Amino acid sequence: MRALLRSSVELLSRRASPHRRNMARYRTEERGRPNATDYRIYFKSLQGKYISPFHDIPLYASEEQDNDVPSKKPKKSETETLFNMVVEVPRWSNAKMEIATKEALNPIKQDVKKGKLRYVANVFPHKGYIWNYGALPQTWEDPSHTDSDTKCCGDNDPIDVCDIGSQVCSSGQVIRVKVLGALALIDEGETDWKIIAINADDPEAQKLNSIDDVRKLKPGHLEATVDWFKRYKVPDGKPENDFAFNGQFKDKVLPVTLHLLLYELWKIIRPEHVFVVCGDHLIPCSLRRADNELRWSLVLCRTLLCRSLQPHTSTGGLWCARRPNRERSSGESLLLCFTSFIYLFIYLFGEVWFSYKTAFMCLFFGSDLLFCPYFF
Amino acid sequence: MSYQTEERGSPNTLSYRLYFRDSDGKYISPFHDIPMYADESQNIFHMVVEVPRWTNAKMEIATKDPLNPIKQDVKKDKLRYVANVFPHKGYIWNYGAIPQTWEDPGHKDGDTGCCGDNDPIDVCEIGSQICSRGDVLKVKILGVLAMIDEGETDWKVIAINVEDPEAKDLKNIDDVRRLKPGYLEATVDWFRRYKVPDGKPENQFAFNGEFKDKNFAIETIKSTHGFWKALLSQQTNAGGLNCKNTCVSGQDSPHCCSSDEAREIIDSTSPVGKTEPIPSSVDKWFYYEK
Repeated sequence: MRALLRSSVELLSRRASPHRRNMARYRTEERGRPNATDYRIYFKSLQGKYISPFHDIPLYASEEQDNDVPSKKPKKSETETLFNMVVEVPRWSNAKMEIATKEALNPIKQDVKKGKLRYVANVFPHKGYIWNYGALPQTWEDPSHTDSDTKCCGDNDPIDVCDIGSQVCSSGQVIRVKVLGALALIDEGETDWKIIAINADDPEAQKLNSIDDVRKLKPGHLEATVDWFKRYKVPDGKPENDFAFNGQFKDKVLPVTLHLLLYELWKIIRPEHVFVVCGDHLIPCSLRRADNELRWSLVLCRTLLCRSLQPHTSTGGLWCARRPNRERSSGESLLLCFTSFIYLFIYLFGEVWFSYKTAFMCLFFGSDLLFCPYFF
Repeated sequence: MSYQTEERGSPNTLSYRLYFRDSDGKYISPFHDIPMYADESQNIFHMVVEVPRWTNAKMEIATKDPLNPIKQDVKKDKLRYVANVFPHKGYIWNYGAIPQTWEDPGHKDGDTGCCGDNDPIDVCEIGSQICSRGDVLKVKILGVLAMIDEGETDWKVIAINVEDPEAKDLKNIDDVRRLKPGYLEATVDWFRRYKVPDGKPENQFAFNGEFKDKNFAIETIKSTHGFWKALLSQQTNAGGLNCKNTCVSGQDSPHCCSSDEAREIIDSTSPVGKTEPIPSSVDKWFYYEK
């Protein structure tokens, strides 16, 4: 145990503790003693204001951070959307650090089970966590919502992320990441999506744009990830975990809890769908479309569909989706709904309709112009 | 007999040295003064831990320095850190050497067809505890792997700390296969590929990478002990090796080191300094298709 603590101290001293690091956008403040139940990592903005890593750090990474007001537009790295990730557990460490969702200001603290500090086991050949592990701020896996893929309810926590970059980050570090895919873990009967992402500052970030790129550049890491999540609780006497989709990774998935109706709708139309994040909405889409087409059409879809269907809003300071600016008449809603669905139906099923695309675009654009205020 | 260590210089720098003392406080050489056997009747050997499990710094007994402290290996003037070859993190066992052994570079091994690597015989201790650099353990021998590292014979003994909770269940190499499945395969994989990130080719093995059992391992260790004895009695050319010791050689031997001389050697090194951080490039994980 002494040697274990010593090596933990070695690991900690290797990286300057977060409050001494010059983090680009956020600072941390440690309280209590590391490896003790009173240890907390609080977050502060650059101006020194205390913030919550759960609610106050924007989901989307942005260039400017003026006076704590997050930018409304997501930061794009070339054509990619970047997200903020709060690192809870540095790679290769064992202490189960997490955002304390039930404490004021949600500091990072070490999980406690049966009165004892929790450390994740080393399941051979793995040493501790095999990625920098953390969470996406401003997300929440709703325990009252049953996920259609996993058939389980959410685990009441922000969505978990595994950063597969080379750098070993510190607990409390906030990095910008590119989402590559996701794994649908069912951990002790609860839905527990694991997003696979790469630190945007990683030297290989440019080359990693999809789950297939991960397979090519980091062979074995995805298999090791499934293996890790399957078995990591077995040393504690728990059974192996299960996965939805047979443990397959979904490409570019961000299953944020929103648009339940939309989700169900698309499930019916396209059983083998994947999802793409577009702005702050989750849009299912076929992989067969070229990326640019996809993005354009998705942006349009978002405008049409999401404006017409009242977005689901959760309350209580947790993740809140956007609301429309004003009340719509039922006639307007109906027209929008109609045009949205027609468009989407054609686009998804309409490979044969490709040549008619422009004509349809004009039609729908035209109908949209009537409702300018709704346009993003 | 228990042993202590004394640090000199700053950890993670070129000046770092770890000297050894016995329980009487006398400076000793971990290469020559620590007996090979902890208990000859039980076939229990001593092991000097150079690299704790899961660390990367390539620490080794400095065979060419007086009193043979542990120091970090240097290649091309840079401190050497072993790469993390996926799925491994650093060394996957406590790694070290058996004192009073030597793989003679002048002797061509009948099994590997190669000459020795001029170092004490290496040990991989597979117990649960992560030991500290400089620990002297009592280990039980379980088997051996015949590696050929860059054309030199480099035996890797597999052993377990006698104080490990599973030590009583581990008596031979087959027990390792049974109680720690995958560990031996991971060991071969590690040694095969650990230098590839540095641009070196994969290493080879004799016996097709098969582990030999405990008896074979003990015989191998004994033969390297014989080479060491010949070295110390000057029957073999030491080359650049430093054979100074405080306990083994008689006072008329040139290898005998007095306590004053030992004091001088220590004082010539820098006092303990601040630990330098390890470069973040050491954290990189290297991936290869097997």
